[in-house]
Amino acid sequence: MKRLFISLTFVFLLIIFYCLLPQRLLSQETPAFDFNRAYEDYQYTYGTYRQAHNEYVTAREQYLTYKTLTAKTLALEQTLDMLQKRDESVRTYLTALRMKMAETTGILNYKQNTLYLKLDAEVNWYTEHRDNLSSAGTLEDLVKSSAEAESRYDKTLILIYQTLGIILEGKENNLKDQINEQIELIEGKITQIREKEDKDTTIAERWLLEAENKLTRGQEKIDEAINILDMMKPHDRDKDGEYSQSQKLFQESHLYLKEANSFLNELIREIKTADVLEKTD
Amino acid sequence: MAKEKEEIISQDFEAQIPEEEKPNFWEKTKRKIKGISAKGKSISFRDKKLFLVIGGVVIISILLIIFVRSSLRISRFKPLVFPSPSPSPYEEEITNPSIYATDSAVLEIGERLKEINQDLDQTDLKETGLNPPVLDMEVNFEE
Repeated sequence: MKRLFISLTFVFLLIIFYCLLPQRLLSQETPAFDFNRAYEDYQYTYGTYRQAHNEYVTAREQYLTYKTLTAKTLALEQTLDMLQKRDESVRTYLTALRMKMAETTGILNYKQNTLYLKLDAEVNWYTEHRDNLSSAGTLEDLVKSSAEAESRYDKTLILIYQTLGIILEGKENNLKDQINEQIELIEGKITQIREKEDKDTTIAERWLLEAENKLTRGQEKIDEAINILDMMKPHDRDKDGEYSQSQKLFQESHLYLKEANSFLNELIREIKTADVLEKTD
Repeated sequence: MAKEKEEIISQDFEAQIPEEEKPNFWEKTKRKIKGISAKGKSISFRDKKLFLVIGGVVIISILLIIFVRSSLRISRFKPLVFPSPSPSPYEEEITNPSIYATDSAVLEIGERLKEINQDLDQTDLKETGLNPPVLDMEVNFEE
């Protein structure tokens, strides 16, 4: 009876263990590391950083008020924790950005590869920096390490804004390519109609020209936007403002693409409509 | 003779018992188990307790398995995402169609342009979620 009881208890414990196993292990499927996953990681890390930062601010105030050894030790601990989480936040953010770029179509290969290399170098720098922080023995060491990261972050921000710009450019390129594809098909169709001479193609050709002009204008706006980001310097005070300016240009480019597409719609409508016969006296 | 009479009477009496008073299957099984236990070792209070514990464990295990299975099944299926209806632009009807109004290539291009229009409307050029993290870079212990 006892044996039965022991074996049943063992089975019961096994079931509990099975229930407590993480879903990922149970399903035997390693979830793909995509942008969503990377972004979740970043959000979580950033949340822990915000918390650590609040604790650092409290510990700093206590140290500056009381100047005791206990307060100093606590300040050292909280500053170290906050700095490590700050580095980790940047690292996970850059990883999410990298994944977003990888999942965006329309980005030119050479641009994407260059940014991959730069992003990887930044990720490595912040990882190393985070690991080296624990060797700091005093508050002064930590302040020095923080200053290193501060200086580095100015350069990192440029890379961040350039990557964001390339992502937007990719999106616009993708739409532009889709419109261009239709333009090519329409050109073929217009040529065919013209050869058959069963319909006047003058108006349709005009619409086509207008649509192409809009696409060219759109490309000009994209180039301007990218140029602003390329000209960004580490010491620029308003990097965010520069990025907003560039973003605005992307939006203008988007409007041109929309116009080009609506012109093509009009063109199709024109092809579908019969010619109006002019009255001859 | 008297004995035989008594037996006959008792048999008749059993036959007269109404259906409702007859022991059902569960009662019969219970009696059988009791009979077995009476024949063999009598079950002690401790053993009864053990039976109860084992029974409890088995029931809880079954419930746990059902719970885990059902939760796994739920997680495997992604929630259905119903496409939100997009407003269809007002399109004037063509009153005098040309011979190309029903041309398959023209119709295909028209459909593709509609799809591109939808893509254009849905493209997010702000990407607010990807704004760089706001970090406190000025760490110092000076008053």
